[in-house]
Amino acid sequence: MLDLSAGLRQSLSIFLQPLTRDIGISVAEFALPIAVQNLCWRLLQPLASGLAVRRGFRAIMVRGAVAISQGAC
Amino acid sequence: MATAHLSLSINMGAGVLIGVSPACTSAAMAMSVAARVVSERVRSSVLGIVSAAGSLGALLSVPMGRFNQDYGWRIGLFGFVARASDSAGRLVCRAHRQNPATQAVRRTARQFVGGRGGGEGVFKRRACSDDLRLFHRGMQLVFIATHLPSYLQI
Repeated sequence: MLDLSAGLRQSLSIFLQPLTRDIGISVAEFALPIAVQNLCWRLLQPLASGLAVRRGFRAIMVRGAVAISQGAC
Repeated sequence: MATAHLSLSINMGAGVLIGVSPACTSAAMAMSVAARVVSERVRSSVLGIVSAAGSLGALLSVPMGRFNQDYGWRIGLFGFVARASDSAGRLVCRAHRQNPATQAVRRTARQFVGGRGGGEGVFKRRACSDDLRLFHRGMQLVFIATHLPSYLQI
């Protein structure tokens, strides 16, 4: 899971050129979702950790995997 | 992202959803889980391995990049969808605990780390520093091969 999550985040630069060319957005416009991504990650990390203690790590990690799947899809 | 045709879809997919996912699956969570299930004697070694596992993502981005160049970026992203769905399914079904192949891999990794079974072990003697040096150089090459061309063309 850790490998998948880190792999997708670090692979976004590979998709930069074809994605921006195909959708017709500039590199600066593509930088906005990356900034939002980092903000969401840092802001939600304490919340996710707190929920993991209450509801269990497995439930939270399943939600994380579903979020990766939905985001990449 | 893979089915996106608008900037808004990219913002939601790459921004919000992929931003939520590392909060739920990041190193902090993985380390918490690992720290709870291993004994104190091997805890620091296991936490180091968990930390290093995050770097495997960068290594895997190389074949993903080649796949992307051959078949298109949307197909490359669907590869991540498939992997995430597989991970979610495994977590739900807990199939990995009963899987004999996974148990064999774990056993081999334990021998490799501990130096049992005739091998020297990744954390033994000078092998440790050699492994670290090799891994560090490899990571730099991965970065140059995959990410640098994109940054240079901006």
